[in-house]
This record gives sequence, structure tokens and C-alpha cells, in this order.
Amino acid sequence: MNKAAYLLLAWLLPGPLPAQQEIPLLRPEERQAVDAQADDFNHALAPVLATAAKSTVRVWAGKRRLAYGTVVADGRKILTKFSEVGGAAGALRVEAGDGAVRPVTIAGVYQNEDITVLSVEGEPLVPVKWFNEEPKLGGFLTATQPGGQPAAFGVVSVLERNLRETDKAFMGVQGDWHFAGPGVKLQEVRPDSGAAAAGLRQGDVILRVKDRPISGMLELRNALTGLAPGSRVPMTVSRGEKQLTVEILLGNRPEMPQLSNGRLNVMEQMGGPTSRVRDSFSNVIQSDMCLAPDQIGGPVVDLQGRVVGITMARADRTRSFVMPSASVTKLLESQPLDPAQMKVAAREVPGSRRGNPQGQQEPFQPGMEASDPDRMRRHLEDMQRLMDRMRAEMERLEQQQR
Amino acid sequence: MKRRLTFPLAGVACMWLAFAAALVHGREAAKTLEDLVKLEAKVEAVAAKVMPATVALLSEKTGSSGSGVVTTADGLVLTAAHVVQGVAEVVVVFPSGKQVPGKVLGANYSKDIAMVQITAKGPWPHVERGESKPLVAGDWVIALGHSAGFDPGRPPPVRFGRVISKGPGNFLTTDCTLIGGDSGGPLFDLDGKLVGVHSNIGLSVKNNNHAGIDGFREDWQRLLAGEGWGRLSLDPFANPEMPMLGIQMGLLRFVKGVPVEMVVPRSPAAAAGVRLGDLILSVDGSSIRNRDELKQVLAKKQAGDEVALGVLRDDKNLEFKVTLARRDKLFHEP
Repeated sequence: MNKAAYLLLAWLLPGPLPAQQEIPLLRPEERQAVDAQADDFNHALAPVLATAAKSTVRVWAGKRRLAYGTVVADGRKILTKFSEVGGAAGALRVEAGDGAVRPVTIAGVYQNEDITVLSVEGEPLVPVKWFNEEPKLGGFLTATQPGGQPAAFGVVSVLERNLRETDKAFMGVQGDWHFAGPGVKLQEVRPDSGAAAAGLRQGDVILRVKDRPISGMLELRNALTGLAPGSRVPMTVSRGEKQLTVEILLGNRPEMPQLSNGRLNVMEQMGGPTSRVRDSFSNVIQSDMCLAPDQIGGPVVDLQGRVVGITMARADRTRSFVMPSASVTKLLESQPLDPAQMKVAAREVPGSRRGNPQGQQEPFQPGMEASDPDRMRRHLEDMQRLMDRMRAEMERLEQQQR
Repeated sequence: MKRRLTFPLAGVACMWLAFAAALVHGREAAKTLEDLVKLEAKVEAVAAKVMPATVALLSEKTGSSGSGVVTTADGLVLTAAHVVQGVAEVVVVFPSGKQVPGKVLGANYSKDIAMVQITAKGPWPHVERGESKPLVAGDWVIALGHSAGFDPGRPPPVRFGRVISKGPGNFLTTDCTLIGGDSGGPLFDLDGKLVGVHSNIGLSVKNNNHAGIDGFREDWQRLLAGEGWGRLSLDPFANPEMPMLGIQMGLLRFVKGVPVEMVVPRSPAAAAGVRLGDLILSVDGSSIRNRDELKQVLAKKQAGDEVALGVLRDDKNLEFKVTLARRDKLFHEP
């Protein structure tokens, strides 16, 4: 696969490892075998990319490649990644696979999904034809380049899910890890929660959610995972000798501080840079495709060449996110935010809270004033510089260690 | 896993994951779109089949989160040694969310393999074991594991790739991308048979290392009996199970090959008839230019493997069949 080829292109440019060091025991015959296989694989993929590639553009600002874009609607609208494009200095333009360049302007923003709508001047482009069925787990996905080559190949790692923490159901209890079970013994009940309202108390043991027996805390979390905030769930609880049934109104999960994890952060960056905004999407497929941040925003096709979604973020070494076509279609039915109103809107870019590595200064903190587009652009550029510096620092460290 | 530094190795360049010639041999072709469609169907089938048996292993004591796979109906879980290091009991979590207690059995740290027994009554969903030794560069593989730790919001993510390189020893390298928390998770062939467990990663996205399943077979009884032994090391030359010829390699500038500077008495090389002064030119037909290449080729083998050593002696090309011995047993075996 593929990965061989693109990764060399995409990832090794910024801080190349000596080729031999990449895999210490790689023999020439092994290299030859996997390279030849990658060539065959990419060659076989070519026909499925041809149509979608016509609807794939590269977005530029000045001399910087920012992202890919997907041509939609009547061919005069392009979807791309807001956090890569919105703050860029210089006039925006898009380049199609045939090399034709067109000026574009930001026409709207879907902030919650980190998507911006570009408006194309001049001749219209070829819009994508959405395919609204979800691919299967393990199904093959390919992100296109404007020229018809694969940008990345991967499989469906996890089916569609919501990554937005605050959309998740929350009952407001904390379990006791030392309780041997079965069930979940409550160590704490949050006063303003659905659990408290239903009369649950510290020391109660949750035995069942609906008809499902609960073996422990992880199973309780799993049982609640599929449920939407606002739903009512019957639970069987034991209190001393008694057993009672309560009905709990689930709330929304509050914002919780994320524990920083230095070692995982380092591993996330192993394999290449990640997108600035890479979380909090409302509905995405997870894939193991390895994309560069400036390749995000283009269409993803299945083996029949049907456009099953668009790429949303490179999240880490193992994960990229794809928004399924049905969700994109639905999003496009809603009205995007007018960029003229972005003065206010710039205060919050969803997902950015955890979107930067190493727990450093964050690009958009709630409450940070970004009162004009210039200022916001400066913040984004500062962030970019900081990330470049961190990348350089990591490479230096690695070289020292070698 | 949970967010803790279980094994700082050679720094960033190589990390354990706990959170912590392409020979044609029936491999699926990928030359035409039709081939890819068939390949995709196999990957989808394997993903669905093996998912229920792929588990998370959580330790309350160390706060660590790794992965594993159930391989018998009564709940024998295979995982990586560094996932269960310093832990006697783990919580085993199935993708359904069901959590059951597990008892840590044995671990061989040199191979980074370990066993855990589910103590609750089965039967449990489980996978079939395959073989890792026949795998070569280019063979398709499928990886599952709890990337970045157990997350009740999703089952263990599926990754697809191929073998990139074999070795050191029992290990193999693939381009199925792994990250902390995947440790101990399963690697499958296209038939859905278990061929390895995830161990560690290098910087490159193509450098994801797995302990081959064959390592378990050799150590099965000791692992079941709860023995712990070996040493966790990514340096193949520091690993006591690395295969050796039993020679000292000399250095000749501007000459292709490796001169034999000394032969260890009673070593595999001595037993095969290799002598002081021989010039090693090839191993199993692939030519050897220098010491580094010889070490590299040997590191990819396992103790007990027979290699054909091509040697130049008195202007004559000779071939010796040498059965490699473990480094730590080099001096003990006849």
C-alpha cells in the first residue's frame, strides 16, 4: 500500500530520517518487495479516483498550501478546513487537477465542524456526487489528490460516531474502583445531576441499566454511551438490603479538564504533523489513513469510486477523521455563519482545546479576545510558529538520542 | 494506556506501546481493482470476526491500559509482557463493555509476550492462532487494539497494512500504525488467524513492531505455569534469545565479505566446520558485504534456524549449514 509512497512524500520532508534508520532491519529485498507492491496497489486504485479527483482542489494563500477542498453544489462552492484556511494571510485561491487557478473568497463557516465554504469566482468546477451509505468496518477508503493520485489509503477503523464530549449522556455519579462488584458502587453523586434528582445516594450499587446487568464501571459507561442526553433510563439499584428501580434523566456531559499525557502526546506526533483542530466533530468515521494537515478537506472514495465523505483531520499517528457524505449533505442544508459576523464567532473554535500537542499555549481559549480577523490570524500564525518550533525541537532530541 | 511512562526506551525514536523478498506464497495479489475488491472483502470479514475477542487489559494498580486477545473458549488471553509488568491482576474488558477479572500468568520479556487467564466462567469469544514464521515482507495483516487506551465510546480500532520487515528474532515490523494502549493487541493474517501481538513503535509510520505468535508456542508451558523471565530490550544484540553463529567477525577494508577472526569452540559455526580465516560471502544466497549486513541478516533469524553460509576458503567457494544457537546458550550446547 500506498502508505509507503505517500508517507515518504508527505512526512519525511520536514525531518527526514536516514532511509536506513527508518526500519533498522529492513533488507534491500524487503524494501523492493514492499515498494513494488505499493506501486501495484496505487496503480490498481487509479480508476476509482478519477471522477472524485475532478472535484478535488488544492487551496492556496500566497505561496502556502493550506488544505484540500471538495467542490459541491453547483460547482461554485468548495468545502475546506476552516482552521487551516480561515486565518491565512494573503488572497485565497484554488488550484484544480488540470492546473487551472481560480480566486476564492470565504462565503460561510460551519464552526462546529471546522468547515468553511469558499465561493469560486470564474468558471464553475465539477461538483462531487455524494454517496450516502456508510462503508463497512474494515472497508477500503482512499483520499484523492487533485491530480488523480491517492493522497492516502486506509480502512474504516471505527464506524460513525460523535466525538463531541458535551453531546454525550451524563448521569453524574462516580464509581468506587475498589468495589469488587458485581455492579457499580457509588462513591459520589453530583448534586445537580440526573442521578441526584432520581434520589441516588453514595453507597448505592447500580445492578442493571434497563435489562442489561452491569458488571462494573466500564460496562456502565458502555451502557450509557449509546444514549442521548435528555433520555430517561430505568436502573435497578441495591441500597443495603433493599432493591429499588429508579428512572434517571440523563444530562449533557460537562466540560471536563483533560489530563495531559506527555508520553501519548509524543507518540501522537510520531509519524508526522497533525491537524490543529482534530476533535469534537459531531459525526465521523475513523480511518488509519495517514494524511498531511495540508491534505485535509478533500473527498474520500470507496472502491467503487463513490464519494463516501470528506477528510476532516489528521488526529494522530493512527487516526484520521472522515465526515460521512450523509452528514455533509445534512450540514449543507443548514445556513453557514456569515464570515462578516466572525468578529464574535472567532472567540470560539470548537475542538481547539485539545487540538494542540504538548499542552502548550492554546490557540483559542474561551474568553480570549479575537476582536478582528487580523488578530485572529496572528494567533493562528503564532500557533503555527510554535508548532514548527516544537517539531524542530523533537527532531533535534531524536537526533541526539540516536 | 493510561498516561504513564512504562518504558522509556531509546527515547522518542523507539517506544513501547503500553502506555504507556517477497516470495510468492499464496499471498493475495493487489494488482487490479478486482484484486482490491477481494482483499477488501477479506479485511471486512476478519474485522467482524475477531472484534469480539479483542480485549482491553486495565490495571487498577498501575493505572495502565493495554490490549490483548482471547485465544481459548475458557478465556486464555495473549498479550505483551510489558502490559502486565508489575501486575498480578487485571480487568479484562470486551468490546461489548463486559468486564471480567483476569489473573496474570507468565511473561517472557525478551520476546515481549505474556498470558492472562480470565477467572470468570466462559465460554468466551476467541480467535484461532496462526503462524508468524512463514510471514514475509508484503504479506497483508490486520491490527486491532485499544489505541490511546480503552474508550467506551468505540470498539478497538481496525488497521490494515502489510509486513515490511522480519526480525529481530521473533518480532516483525508492519505498517499497521500503532500507538500507546495498542500494546498486546492482536495482529491477524487475512484468514483471521492470530499471528502476533503489538509491542513497540519507531518514529516512522512504517515502523510498528509485533511479537510473532510462534514465540508463544515455544514458551507455552512456561507461560501457562506463570513463569516470568527474560529482559525487555529493543536492541537485538542485547537480547539473550538472539541467534548466533559463534564466530568473531573480523574487518577487512575494501574487501567484500566478513572474515572469521575466531570460532567459538563447540559453537554452531565450529560444529558446521567453519574455520578461522574463512571469508563469509553470503547467507542463504543473499550476499553479505560487511559485518553490519551479516549482523542484520542474523538478527532476522531465530535460534534453531538453519542457515546456509557461503564461504570463500583458499580460493574455493564452500557452503556450510549452520544451526543457529541462542546467545545465552552458545557456550553450553554441544
